[in-house]
Amino acid sequence: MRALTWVGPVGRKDALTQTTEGLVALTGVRKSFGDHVVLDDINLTIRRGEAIVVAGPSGSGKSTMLRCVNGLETIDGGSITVDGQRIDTAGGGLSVLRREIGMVFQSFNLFPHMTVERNVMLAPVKVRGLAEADARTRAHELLGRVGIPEKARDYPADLSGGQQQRVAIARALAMDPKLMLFDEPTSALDPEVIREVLDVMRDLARSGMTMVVVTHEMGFAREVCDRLVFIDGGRIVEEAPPEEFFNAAKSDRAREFVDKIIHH
Amino acid sequence: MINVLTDNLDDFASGLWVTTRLVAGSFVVALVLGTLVAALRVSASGALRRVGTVYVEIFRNVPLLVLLFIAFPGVLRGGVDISPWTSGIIALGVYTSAYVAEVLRSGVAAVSTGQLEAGLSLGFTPVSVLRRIVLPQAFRTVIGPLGSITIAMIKNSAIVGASIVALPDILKEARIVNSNTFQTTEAFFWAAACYLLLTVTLTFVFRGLESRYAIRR
Amino acid sequence: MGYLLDPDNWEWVFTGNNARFLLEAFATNVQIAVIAMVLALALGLVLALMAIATLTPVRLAAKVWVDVFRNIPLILLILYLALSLPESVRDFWVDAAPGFLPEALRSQFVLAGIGGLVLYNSAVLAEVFRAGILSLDSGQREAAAALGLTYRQQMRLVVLPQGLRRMVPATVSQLITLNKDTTLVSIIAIQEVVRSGRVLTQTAGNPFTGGGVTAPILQVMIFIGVLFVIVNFALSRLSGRLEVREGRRTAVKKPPVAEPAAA
Repeated sequence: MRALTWVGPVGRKDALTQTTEGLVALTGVRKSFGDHVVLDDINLTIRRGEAIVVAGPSGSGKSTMLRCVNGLETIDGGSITVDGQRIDTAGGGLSVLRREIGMVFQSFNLFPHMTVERNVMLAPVKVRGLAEADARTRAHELLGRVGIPEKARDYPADLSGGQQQRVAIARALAMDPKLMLFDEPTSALDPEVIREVLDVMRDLARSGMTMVVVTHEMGFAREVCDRLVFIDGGRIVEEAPPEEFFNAAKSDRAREFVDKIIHH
Repeated sequence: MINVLTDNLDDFASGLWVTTRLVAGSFVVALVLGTLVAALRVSASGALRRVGTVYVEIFRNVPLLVLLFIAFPGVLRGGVDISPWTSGIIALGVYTSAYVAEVLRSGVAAVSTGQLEAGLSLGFTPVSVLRRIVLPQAFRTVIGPLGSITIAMIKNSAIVGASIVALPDILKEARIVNSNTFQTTEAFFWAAACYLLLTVTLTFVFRGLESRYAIRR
Repeated sequence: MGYLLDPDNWEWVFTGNNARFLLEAFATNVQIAVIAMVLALALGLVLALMAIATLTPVRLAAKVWVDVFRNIPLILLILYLALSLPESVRDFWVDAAPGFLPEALRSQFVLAGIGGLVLYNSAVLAEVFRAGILSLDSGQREAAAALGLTYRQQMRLVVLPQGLRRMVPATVSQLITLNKDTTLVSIIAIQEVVRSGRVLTQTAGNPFTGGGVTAPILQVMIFIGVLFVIVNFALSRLSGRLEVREGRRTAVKKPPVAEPAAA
């Protein structure tokens, strides 16, 4: 697949990859479902342009943490800010903040009653008030970037899982987000199409997009991410660049996790 | 409010008893006919299946009020001496049987063909597979829908009393109380309460059955 | 059987205007059903949205409405409304009813009849709607929320279009029930098909029809029953068609929407 260059509205890559300013900050975040503590004192800062992979055993709280970042889950304590704006206390203003945060789900969640291009155009037209024609041009451009320009008029049900997930990425990008969240984007995919989705994500990361990716794809983590965050039992156990994490993890639990994956 | 009930307790009680008997009788008719028609609907013979389908389509699509006119004055005029009770029970029972047949049929269809094949490969005849393996499982899945049908039947039974058949059921008694006391809202309120008493009781009965016979999967 | 099929007992169908008289009365039933359905759909949608609202009093109000009107017999509701409707309201309707309505729909108890049908069906349809909306995967709303759509936009653009589509079969089956239930307004003296049928059986050579034959009630009611079977069967077929077409287009998983049981 050809390399995709992500050109944001202001040519972000150069300007943003070097800055060290925090775009996302989670401070002392706690959350429980009943008696079960899901997130326990999570502290994490994500810089602009940084690509982070969040890994950990299932049930460790990694997806919940991601969902808290755009307010799909409420939190019980601590604070979450994105670009200086509080997410956890946004209340009715949440939908405004979410415009800046793209999200890609494990189960795609494309809208089955709309064509592919309508899926991509929906938010720009309805939320940003973009003219239909402009939104359509932009949608086609984005569908080209994720490699499926020919599917614009199809319904999601006619696409393969990998194609649906690429549409979902285009849909999120259509809002020109500052931040992209990926919640196990390849877990529902057949093995043979995982690659095409990961390639799109890799190119997106290389173009300087700030990304938080919850995934079990450790090959992707090793190759693409700047930092790997390992969560277990609702706590961040370790944060390190991928090489360091895979070769010299400090904690036992992280080493155990790496062993399992490598010997898998 | 309450005095309209206490002053006319006899009327409401007898109405409740009439409705209960009407519903119980119709339920038996509906269950027997519904089972027969469901059997037609799943039979191997295309002709029999068609007979079952026609039966369901007719009685699901015709108004109960029209059936009541057919079953009472219509049959009487045809020279068959029939009592209001028999007419009411048959009309309500037949009307409901079409719905029962549909529920039973889909209950049977919900039992996987794997179960059927397993039964056949154990050497059971098709009939005994149906009786020993399919129907007991189907029964459990249909308890819930049968409950909703029964509750609908309680509500529909009021049509019997309001129609030309004029059995002295809850609604009929409430109208008598209304014409005696002129307290319309009170009379109808207590009538609604009587119906609610029946539907709530049956909801609990069916819920109990459902949890007792639930299949753990 | 001889009595049932005896040609003498069917002669009325071909005499005077009897058949046409019944068909016109049946058209009144269909009109009542359509009017009541439109109103009940609108009200039911509002109730369903209230039932999933975040505000507790709103939710509670919808729940009470639905539970009350769904659980009392429709005929009780209609009779009560007819008996308690003030004379002023009845007179008002007789005066103010739009002239394009058929005569039967301008009579004094029409508001009670249609009112009862609408109250009852709004409750049933609210449940159908609610189930349709809740059957939708929660990911759909999350995805819409994540794109920055407001609650109203999420509902209007994503949730309702899909929820309503899933409702089509259940709604049509409720329309069939409603169509049958229109006969109940004959009990409050609205001249629909069952009442008209009785007119035929009571008066030989009656002023409406000019026929010279008394119609036997058994045959008249069978005739009326056939009318209902034809129309309702056609409706259920139509629903089946719609379902197949929708399924093909969007491949939405077929809904676990509860069909309203025998009602």
